Amino acid sequence: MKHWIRDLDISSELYDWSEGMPCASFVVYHFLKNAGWTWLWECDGELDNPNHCPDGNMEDSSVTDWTLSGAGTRSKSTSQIQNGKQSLSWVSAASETLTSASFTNLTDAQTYEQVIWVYNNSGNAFTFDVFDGNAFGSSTNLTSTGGWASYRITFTKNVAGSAYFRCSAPVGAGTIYIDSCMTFESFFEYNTSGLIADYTDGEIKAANVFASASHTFVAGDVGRVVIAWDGTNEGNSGAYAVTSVSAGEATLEIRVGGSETLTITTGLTWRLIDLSAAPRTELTSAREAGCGWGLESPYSSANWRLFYRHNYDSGSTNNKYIQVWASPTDCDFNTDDGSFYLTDVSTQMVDPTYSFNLGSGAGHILFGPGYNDSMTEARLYLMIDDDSTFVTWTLRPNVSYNAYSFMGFTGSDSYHTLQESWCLSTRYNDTSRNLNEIYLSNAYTSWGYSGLQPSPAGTMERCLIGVYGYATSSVPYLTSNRKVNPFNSSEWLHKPFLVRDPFGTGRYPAQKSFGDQGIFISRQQTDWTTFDSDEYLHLSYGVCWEWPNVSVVT
Amino acid sequence: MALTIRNLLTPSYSANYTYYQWMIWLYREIFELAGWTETYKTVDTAWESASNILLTLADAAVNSATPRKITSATGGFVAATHEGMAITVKATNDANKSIYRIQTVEDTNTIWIEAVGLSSAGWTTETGITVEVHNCGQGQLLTTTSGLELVMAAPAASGASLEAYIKTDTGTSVGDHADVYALPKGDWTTAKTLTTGRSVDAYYQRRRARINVYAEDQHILIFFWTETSEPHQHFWGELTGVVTGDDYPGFVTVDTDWLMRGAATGFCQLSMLDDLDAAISGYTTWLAHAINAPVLLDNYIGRRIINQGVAKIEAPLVFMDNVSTGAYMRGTVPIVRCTGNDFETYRPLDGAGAWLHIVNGTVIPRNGTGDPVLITIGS
Repeated sequence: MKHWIRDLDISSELYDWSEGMPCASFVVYHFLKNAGWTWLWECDGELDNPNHCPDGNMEDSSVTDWTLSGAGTRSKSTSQIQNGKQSLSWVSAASETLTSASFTNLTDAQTYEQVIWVYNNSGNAFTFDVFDGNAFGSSTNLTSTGGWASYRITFTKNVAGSAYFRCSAPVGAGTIYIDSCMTFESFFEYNTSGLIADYTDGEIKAANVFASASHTFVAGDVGRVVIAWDGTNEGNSGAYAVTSVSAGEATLEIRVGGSETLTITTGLTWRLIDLSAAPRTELTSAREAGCGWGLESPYSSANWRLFYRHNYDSGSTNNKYIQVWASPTDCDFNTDDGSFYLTDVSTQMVDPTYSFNLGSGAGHILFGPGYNDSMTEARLYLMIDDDSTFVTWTLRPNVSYNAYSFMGFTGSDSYHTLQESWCLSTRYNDTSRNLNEIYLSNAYTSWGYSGLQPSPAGTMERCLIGVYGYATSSVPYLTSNRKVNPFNSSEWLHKPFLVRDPFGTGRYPAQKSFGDQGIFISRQQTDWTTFDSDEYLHLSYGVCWEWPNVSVVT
Repeated sequence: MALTIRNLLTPSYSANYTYYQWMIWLYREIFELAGWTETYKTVDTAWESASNILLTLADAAVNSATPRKITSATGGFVAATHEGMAITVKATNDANKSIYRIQTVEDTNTIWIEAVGLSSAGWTTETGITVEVHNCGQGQLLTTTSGLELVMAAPAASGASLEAYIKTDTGTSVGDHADVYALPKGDWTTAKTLTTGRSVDAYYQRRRARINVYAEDQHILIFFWTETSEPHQHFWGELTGVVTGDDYPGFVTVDTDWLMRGAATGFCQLSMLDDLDAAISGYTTWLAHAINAPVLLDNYIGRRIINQGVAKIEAPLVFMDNVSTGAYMRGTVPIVRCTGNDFETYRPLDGAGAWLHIVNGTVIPRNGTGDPVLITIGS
């Protein structure tokens, strides 16, 4: 079963040169998280090293950033690792403390998150707290679980001094390992002004009425967005704006053009988010502009990983695209900047041009129209399946420059392992404005021209999206006389192809059809219209999606 | 029911410009062996002439222990007149059924056929087979002065009524040739709803041919080399995977290029009927990249659709001509497949594979791993 965001209007979040992409990232994040994805990483707009915790990834050879108060010892360890190649091993003395170096580049009075990963098999509980520049806050127990566990503390930077975190050993002491320490301002998971509610008791109570015993909807929720996940009733999952509130229940804008309604049900996992708190890439906020996130798919066959980071260029005339990188596996990553280590296959495996948002536009990006004087409207469409084997989404503006992206698995076949069926296909490296990413062309700005796909050897190869052509240079879906099949008056369509090593520069040429990803190529029709009894949605330029038999608002 | 004919070398006629007069005689023989039935033919004594049908026997036998050997208790084989001729073996078993070239007449009851015409898997033992020894229609030429016609109806394996229509067109001796048509509605006896005719003129002056056939149900692909040219083909069939209501997806296509990604003419162009029963062309599609189709066709993917040493093949979808009554995807071409166009010509696509690459990326079913290697006209 597929799940969609169907035409979420985010026009209110358009800002000069951002054109809704940061807000789209915000919604996509919460939709995926609500669909069962695991939080991995966040960063804020810190430029060169967005992790404010020195040696937070524990990959420095030295231990000088970690200070002990007593006679214990600390060293870098390769025997217990949460991420990367090393962790910090701490053989503690009784009641000893270990403190981090002072956090760098914090903004006074700003709220931050401190996440650490700890392996504690000592049999004793350690504790963890943060010095905010003036005092320690409340502590958290680091229990002896026999495995890696993450802990998080929220703190607000005090103007009085530097901030750092501390772990404290019990009287009984012992050995623990610490890794992946991340200090960041959260614009996504822990952004309490952005994430208003997060529960598992959502109810569709009537055609477009949503309620939750855990949250009484109030007038202030109008304009916010309910993100719902329903694993049973197709068409219920989505991101719906709250249009009104009555008796603690929300009326949702379900964006259908006809009489279709949501299916009445209970027990939905849901979130309430506030788009006005989304990272907008505001022109004056470098702190916010370069934020990003990393998530891991719940797909049981391959916990693939996906990272977004917004362009940090905060100037008044800089494009606000999103850089994307991903791995078909649970590839380890550098918690300092989210980049993958080259220990497993990822989009960074063969692509040294990734710059991790140094403002050059290098790498795969989610961009959309860029700045356009006439753009006053942006609507978000997204499609995934039950297991989150893939994610595809598009941002539809009122001008003809649609964003488009696909990332995930296309299904194994006799010539492709599951991993080889994975691809990331987005605009690449070109930040020219006012171009239509959804248009399949031989331009780097097309979503289908510069993808990456794993080879049998575990390297990444260039791939692109193939369609049918005829007579050497024509494509059926764009022909001038294109029409329905006259024998049954239905549209004709085919699944796109995934073509690896299309230009013969690699060693692993291959071709496969997309599988059950709900993406098709049809004749070019009126943009953003459904056909065949609303079974399909034509987006633009022949790209179609499977659609849950509901009409659309024109 | 499938029919495979391999490397059948016809006798060499004594003069040029008569090829189409005896070739059509042989086509009728092939169609019938493939299960097609005769709807109509121009009256001509050459069809059944004893000058063409040299011997008919009803008790031929083949044995798995003696590949290439055909025996008959009745007998009548004559070395002087039968060696080098063809024998149509109307066997029940597909492994035996074909037309072969007689290499040796051992005695009046025994002949040996050419090895290049028989799978190395050999015979399946069978008796009581009807066989015809013939000279491929060269003993008495068909009369073509007023335009000879032959109409054959496909076996109705799926209720199909496709008819194949061949008509000679005589002009100057250089221009003499045969046009081929399809009647997708099978209405020769009534409305005669024809596709556009197609012709292969280039072989008009040839005197002999090396014939290959693959036929299955209502689809038949005949291709042949002549003395100096590449393999021509005639291909009749019906698209598969068409929508409900598309009852007459019959087609015919001919050419020498075998290019399913050709430039809107040749083998990639299928002559068909549209939904209003008017003649229309359909074109085989090929993997492309959006607006820049040739990039993936000729330069790169066309020769590189290989994955881990295995050639990727595609059943080509057919897109109807970009005219006001066309421009829609209709169905899939039967029998043949597309692959990269730089594989070795006339050779199996993969050693143990089921497909045989002809040329330019068009592949056809292989008659098992024992299928004889294709040879050209030879000496």
